Amino acid sequence: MGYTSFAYIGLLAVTFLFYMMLPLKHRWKVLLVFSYAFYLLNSGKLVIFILLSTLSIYLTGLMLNKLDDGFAMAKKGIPKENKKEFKAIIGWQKKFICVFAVLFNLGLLIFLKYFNFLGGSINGLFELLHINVHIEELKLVLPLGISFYTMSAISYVVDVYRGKYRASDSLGKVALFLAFFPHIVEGPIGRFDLLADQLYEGHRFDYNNLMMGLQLIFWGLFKKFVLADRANMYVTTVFKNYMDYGGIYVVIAMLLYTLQLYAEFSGCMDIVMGSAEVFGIKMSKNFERPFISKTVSEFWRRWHMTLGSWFRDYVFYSVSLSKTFMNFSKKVKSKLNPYLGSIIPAAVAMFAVWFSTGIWHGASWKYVAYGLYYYVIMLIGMIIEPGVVKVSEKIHLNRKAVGYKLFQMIRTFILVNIGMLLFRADTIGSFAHMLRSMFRGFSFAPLANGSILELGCDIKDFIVLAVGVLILFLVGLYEEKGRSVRQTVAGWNVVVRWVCYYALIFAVIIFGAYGYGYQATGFIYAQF
Amino acid sequence: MEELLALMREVKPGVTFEGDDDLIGHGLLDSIAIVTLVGEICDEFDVEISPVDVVPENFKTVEAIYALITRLQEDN
Amino acid sequence: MEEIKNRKVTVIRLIKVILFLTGFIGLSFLISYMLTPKRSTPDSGISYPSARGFYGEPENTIDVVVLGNSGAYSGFSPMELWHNFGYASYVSCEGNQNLGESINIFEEILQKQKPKLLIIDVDCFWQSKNELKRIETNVKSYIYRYFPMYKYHDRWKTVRLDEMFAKKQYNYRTSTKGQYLSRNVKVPSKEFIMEKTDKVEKVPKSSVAFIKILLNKCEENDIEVLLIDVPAMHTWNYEKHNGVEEFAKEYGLNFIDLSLVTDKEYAINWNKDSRDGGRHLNSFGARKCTKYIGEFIKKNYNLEDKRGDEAYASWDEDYKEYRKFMKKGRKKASK
Repeated sequence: MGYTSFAYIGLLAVTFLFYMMLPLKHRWKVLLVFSYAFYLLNSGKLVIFILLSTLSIYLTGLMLNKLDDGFAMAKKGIPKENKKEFKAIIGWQKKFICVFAVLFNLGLLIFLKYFNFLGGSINGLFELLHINVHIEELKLVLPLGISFYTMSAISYVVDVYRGKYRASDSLGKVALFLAFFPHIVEGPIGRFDLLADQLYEGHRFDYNNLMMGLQLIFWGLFKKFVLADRANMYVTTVFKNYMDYGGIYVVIAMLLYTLQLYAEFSGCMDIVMGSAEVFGIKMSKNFERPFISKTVSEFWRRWHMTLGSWFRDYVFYSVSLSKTFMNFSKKVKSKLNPYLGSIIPAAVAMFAVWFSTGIWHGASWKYVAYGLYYYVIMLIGMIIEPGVVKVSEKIHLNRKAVGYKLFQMIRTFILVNIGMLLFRADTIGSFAHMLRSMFRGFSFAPLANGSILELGCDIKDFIVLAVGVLILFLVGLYEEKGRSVRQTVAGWNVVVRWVCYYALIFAVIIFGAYGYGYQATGFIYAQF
Repeated sequence: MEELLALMREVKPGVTFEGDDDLIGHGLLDSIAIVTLVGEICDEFDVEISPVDVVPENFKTVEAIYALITRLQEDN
Repeated sequence: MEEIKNRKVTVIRLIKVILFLTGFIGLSFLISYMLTPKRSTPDSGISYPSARGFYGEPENTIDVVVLGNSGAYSGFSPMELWHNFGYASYVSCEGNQNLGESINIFEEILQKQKPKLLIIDVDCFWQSKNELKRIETNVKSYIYRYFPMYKYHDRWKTVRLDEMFAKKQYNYRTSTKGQYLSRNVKVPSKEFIMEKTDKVEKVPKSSVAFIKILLNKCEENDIEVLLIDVPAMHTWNYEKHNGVEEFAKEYGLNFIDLSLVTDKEYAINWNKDSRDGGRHLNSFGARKCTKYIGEFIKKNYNLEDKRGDEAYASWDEDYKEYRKFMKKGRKKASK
């Protein structure tokens, strides 16, 4: 049951009715019950895995609380010289529990998602070394949203361990935090301190929330049905038969895939956030106009933001702020020069981040390459940064000028598109083939003679896509200035406003690429 | 305070940190710079900065960073 | 004071919501009309024009209607039924037709024709992969009936301005009476065995609900109902057979499972009678099925033999054309 199905709309409506009927105190239970109903409908027996995760982090939280309390109690009675020792012991115990819980949750994910990939890689290695051992492939089915809720689960345990907040006493609250049905399939990856209380406290019926939420849902449907699914028709043709196409065909396929993924993923987020908003719940946003980024690292701060910030907080900081790592940095700095001293440690920590970001997207070397692609770009950026500064000072290049910024944006846009090509291509090999084929015999002839219109999108499809992109662009421009389109529209008089709403709704119905003659497409990120 | 600024200039040469009210939002401090800075601060001021303290609010301005250091020194 | 003000706000909002929805429904009707094809010919953009050829027959001339999915439009031959038994039938089947769509098209038929017998291919009882999906698609089809814009939304590409507000004029006629003719032969890659079992796969609950709607319609209009299963290797098995058997008994319907027919004259030979490796029958398989069904109808129902009736002269013409096609024989089998 995808977020764009009638069934989902029905589920949302029923949940909403029950939610608003119950007393405030009990409303969270409605969310919990329907979240699990949603889960069961989608994944059946596999619900056991999210239950295991929930239970494990709940109990871990309680144990960490107990240790913290014990320490606080004992602190007063212990003389100063023993305090440090005591703190260290408690610290070890906490660390042990935390690491155990993280490994348990991560282990479930790794086993279910990566077992066959790891097995295959090890088999390959054994074959090379002539070791006669073979790991059998297992038939594993991924539980719904495991890549997403595992992240939330780990963040909860680590945050409690770090002392950011106290663990919750309520199993229901923790369970709801993980399983909340709007974000279970493809995020945004929730943080307990930002989300759990909102989910747990009852929200009163609010007309504005309801209307704003519904608008956001329709905006998301517009992106998904009108843009993403339409672009998909062309994209599928070229990527499926990539050997047959080159030049501008592939360039357009790449651009359209970037559009597809953005429209679809951010559209799904709009549906998700709109669904939550209906109840008065605000979720972390996942997109902030990524295509105006001036660097790829800025892109990743604006694209799938909750994933980026997760890796920053729980991988990058965990690695780079650890004592071992700090000592290593110091050594590098004192033994080598300060320039390398600042780059090498960062390079090591970033490697951990981008390797895991890559493989998080899927169990194959292609996704590892995808992560490392961005890693290499960022690394090169870091290495040449001082040089660029010096050179531009010498030739009096104003790096704050509009022209330079535009150059940066276009450069980043191209780099991101190449990343998307890798993301969509079947294998690293087909990616390489497609990348090369773009330059082989490039010409604009297919545009002029119309053969570009024979790959799944005709001229009318392209017009719809172009208009859609223009709308997206204008909305983005408006919001980048810090204003909200929804608020602005809400302020217009009722006739104009309704015309806008009707236009949006009927645009989805009429121009959506669904139903007869269209392949139904699921959400790309729901597969991760 | 001067000490801190000196450290920051070391990490990111040629940048004016004073008076900026959103170092992170304006891209003057990214996560890599922050981590390097944290390393320097820990050495220089003899404090321990844990990941929980590495949040935008604590690194938004020079004053905020300084306040964080002062608080951590008192805790010790 | 505050309370009165609040109540006023609530009332205004309620009115606004109702007005908005009314406007939405009104616009939906309008746009639906604009996008619906105004003719029923294949180039009009209408979906499954062959299933809607009954519009082109004179009123109240069709006595037997077949509903179902591609299995039935491949495996039932109105021309054979006409030639051998003199019953005038029409196959109003669509690819992946779900029961919601069956109801829709049946209502359309009832406006033009007065059938005496409805034949339903039970394969569509199991359309969609799970119950949830089934409910969804069936409900969707129901909505499509009132708002065809969901079905025909893509016609914004082709619809002409003058066509948008034109009057509907459906009169396309097809000589095959809805059958999909094929002389192709493709041998299935595996053998099809209906292994006898006592296990029962019940007719899905959601389907039962929709079948009941159909049954009620038939009762209101004095139409008898016959369930059949056209052989299809990939979707049919004995568990389902038992399920339908149970269902038929409960509702007092006749059920013919053509996969279980062993009589040599009527039994399907999978090496010769399928056009695509066991998914669908070709027209030679259809001939066998139809003859068997015809015999059954003759024995169990009281239908009039219309052969020789002047009003049906065109049917004999149509049969000649059909005969010409069948005379060419099967194409060479492909694996």
